Amino acid sequence: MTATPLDTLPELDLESELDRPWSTTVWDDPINLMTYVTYVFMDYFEFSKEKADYLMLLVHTEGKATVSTGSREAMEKDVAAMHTYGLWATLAKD
Amino acid sequence: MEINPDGENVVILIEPFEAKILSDLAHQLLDITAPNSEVVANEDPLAALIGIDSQAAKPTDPISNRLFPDAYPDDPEASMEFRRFTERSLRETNVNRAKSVLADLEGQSTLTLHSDQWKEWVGFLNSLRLALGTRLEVEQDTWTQERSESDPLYQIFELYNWLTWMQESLISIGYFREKR
Repeated sequence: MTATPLDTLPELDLESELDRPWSTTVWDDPINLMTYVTYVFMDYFEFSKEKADYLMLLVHTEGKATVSTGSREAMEKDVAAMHTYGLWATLAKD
Repeated sequence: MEINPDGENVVILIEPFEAKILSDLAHQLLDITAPNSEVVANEDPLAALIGIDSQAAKPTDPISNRLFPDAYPDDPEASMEFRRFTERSLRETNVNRAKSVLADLEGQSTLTLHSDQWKEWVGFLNSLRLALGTRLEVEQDTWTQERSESDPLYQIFELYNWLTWMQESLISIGYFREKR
C-alpha cells in the first residue's frame, strides 16, 4: 500500500478557476451599423429585440458592453462568432 | 439599385455597372481574406485538416487587423494561440461569402435572396465596409462629413456610403420587417 503524498499535492486555485467566470466584451467601433449590431445580438445570442437594442446602445454610449459570461471555452466560441460577424470582441477574466 | 421585400425573400434589382462594382470589390475582398496559399503549401496537413493554422501571425496592416482582431486585449500569447485555432476558419467564412455573392451576381439583373443568401450578403457587405471604413479612417464623429471631389479617397468614400445604404436596406427589409 502506498501513502498518498498529501504534502506534494498541487494547490488548486478553485476560487479563480470556478468562481470568477470569463466574459465576452463587444467594443464600439465607428463602422458597424447600429441596426447590424442589434441583428447580430438577436441572431447569435437569440436575445429579444429589447435586450439586443439595450446592449447595442450600451456599446454605442459606453464604448463597450459585456454580452456573455461563462467558461473560457464558451467565451472563446462567442468571441470567434462575433469576429465572424465582424464585431470587435475580446474575452477576459472578470 | 432597388431593394424590395418579396414575401420571405428580399429582391435586389441591380444594374450591370453596379454588379460589376460589387464583383470587383468581392474579388478585392477575396485577395485580402484568402488564407495565404504559401503558408497552406508548407504546413502540417493534419493541422490544416482540423483548421489549425500553425503559422498564424498577427496582421501588420490595419485592414487585416480589423478583420482578424486579437481576442485577448492584454495577452499577446493567448491571442496568438486563439488565432492559430480560429483565423483560418474566419478567413474561409469571408471567402465563402464573397464567392456566394459572386455566384448570385452572375449574369443576373434581379436577385432574389432567400434567408441563407441574405445572411451571406449582409456579412459580405459588413466585411467590405470594415475594409473600406478602415482605409478611410472613419471615426465616430467624422464619418458623416462630406468629402470634396478633389479628395483622393473621394471614390472610396462614395463606395462606402453606397455599401452602407445597401447593408442598412437589406437589414431593415430582410430582418426587422417581420420582427417589429
